[in-house]
Amino acid sequence: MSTATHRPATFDVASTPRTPFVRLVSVELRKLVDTRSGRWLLIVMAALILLGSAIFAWAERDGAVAFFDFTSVAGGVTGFLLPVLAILAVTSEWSQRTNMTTFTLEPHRERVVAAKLVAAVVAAVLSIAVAVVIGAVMSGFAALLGADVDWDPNLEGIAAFTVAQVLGLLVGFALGTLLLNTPAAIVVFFAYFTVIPGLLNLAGFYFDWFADVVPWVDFVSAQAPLANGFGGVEWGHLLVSGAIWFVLPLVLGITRVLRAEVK
Amino acid sequence: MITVEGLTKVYGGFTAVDDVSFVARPGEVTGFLGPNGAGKTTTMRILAGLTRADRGVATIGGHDYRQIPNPGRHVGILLDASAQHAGRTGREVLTLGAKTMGLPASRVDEMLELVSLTDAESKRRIRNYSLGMRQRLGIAHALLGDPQVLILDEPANGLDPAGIRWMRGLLRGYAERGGAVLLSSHLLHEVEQIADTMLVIGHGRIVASGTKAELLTSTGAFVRSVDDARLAPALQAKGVTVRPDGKGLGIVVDAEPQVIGETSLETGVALLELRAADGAGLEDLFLQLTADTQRESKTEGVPA
Repeated sequence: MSTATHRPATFDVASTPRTPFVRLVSVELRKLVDTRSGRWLLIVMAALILLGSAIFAWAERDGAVAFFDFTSVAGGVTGFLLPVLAILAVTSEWSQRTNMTTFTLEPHRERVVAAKLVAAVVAAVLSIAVAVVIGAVMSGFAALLGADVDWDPNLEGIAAFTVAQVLGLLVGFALGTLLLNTPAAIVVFFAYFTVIPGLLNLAGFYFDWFADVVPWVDFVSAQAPLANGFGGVEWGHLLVSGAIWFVLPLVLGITRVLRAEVK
Repeated sequence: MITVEGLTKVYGGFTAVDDVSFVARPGEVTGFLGPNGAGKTTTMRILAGLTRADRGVATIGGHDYRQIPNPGRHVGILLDASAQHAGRTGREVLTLGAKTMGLPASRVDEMLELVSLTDAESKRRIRNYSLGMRQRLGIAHALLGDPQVLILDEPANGLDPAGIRWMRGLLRGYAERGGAVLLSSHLLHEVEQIADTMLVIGHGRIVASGTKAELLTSTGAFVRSVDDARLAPALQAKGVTVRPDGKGLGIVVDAEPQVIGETSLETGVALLELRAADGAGLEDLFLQLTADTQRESKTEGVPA
């Protein structure tokens, strides 16, 4: 402790720079992996992708395999676990009450929220990079087993896959900020992708007028063209449904985080 | 260094902090004393920028907390030692703080040594920490950035007597080097041991403040006479404050023994007892000042 020095009686903050945003992001990245739950989430994610890809390679050993096919295997895992990662990044601060420390070290909460968001996206992109590497290794494995492998990297496809995965993660993040409660946010997130589209389509089935509305409010179907290309109206569907199911909860959630009493 | 003026915070219909004003000076340990729920924590949370005041201002070194860049380098805060992720190690908590503040990793080891957490203890998860260890970790975290101001909420809670003595030495040294300390407690003897200046708060209001000596002398002299009912008005006629001692044994008079003796002579009421009011004066004061804010109707048995 450099306490041998006497402190000046004045309180001079002019020479202290504000905490750089990059530093906040690196701290938030560290928080994603410095607890058992965070670390295991990533390990389980990698293990499941590895296992799923190996099974896929084995199953297709006599057929034809495209390198890109492995992204859909990985997507089955990351599509669920990345949003959970984003939810935990937000909600664990509230359930463990570490936000008291976080918000006293950086009282501008909007910077903390932004740093968390960036950290979660970085983690998602890194996870997908790992998934792609695993896919490449497993393509080689399939080739060894005798499969006919198409090595076309399909960069456009991988980019679209990444965008879809990041979008899912952002939805998780939005629900985390809105609910500030881990189980509630996870349940609502899964309801988003299972219960809500079903209900919307059911309503569309019974009410003719609503059938025309459904494409504009069904966020899940609106994301489907990410895989096979957008037309003008599909972009409209994604923007409108995204505003309802993603932007609105995110705005409400961030407002809540900025104002909430930290207990 | 810490200036609070007319601070008020209302939750629904409940006034948690009611027009509170005080200063905490550099070079001093200021004790914030009051029963649970008196408004200490709310005041400290407002100072730390976690809660917004409805009225009044709370500044540190003339700044609103939110305006202080990298505030951990200027103000060390410990509001709740248990508010840490149970799954992180103590060392990791300090590392996160050091990284946020832009401090070298060596600072973490220095702080662990300062609060006597061993290397093995620092690698244990916080869920396995005793409250005393959490308090030590919290104090280490507050001191990480070598701040000029410390705000500690109930830091002695959970420390054993040796731990309290250690903390007293630590905070005394810190204040002597020019730091300002504001620390709260609901236990009188803790504050009595550590603080230079005391603020007593009850029901959201500051009910007394001053140095320990000032608060003690105000309790005056205990007087018992053959007829207190005649002596008391005669004393009051001289402009002296007289109040019952609260036990029905005599009266407490804010005056020098000479004045009391002269009054006894003049009125012909013989004194049976004249001495300094009870030695545990501060405790009486504390209980008396906070009596109407206590949950217990009367402070019989174990005092708060």
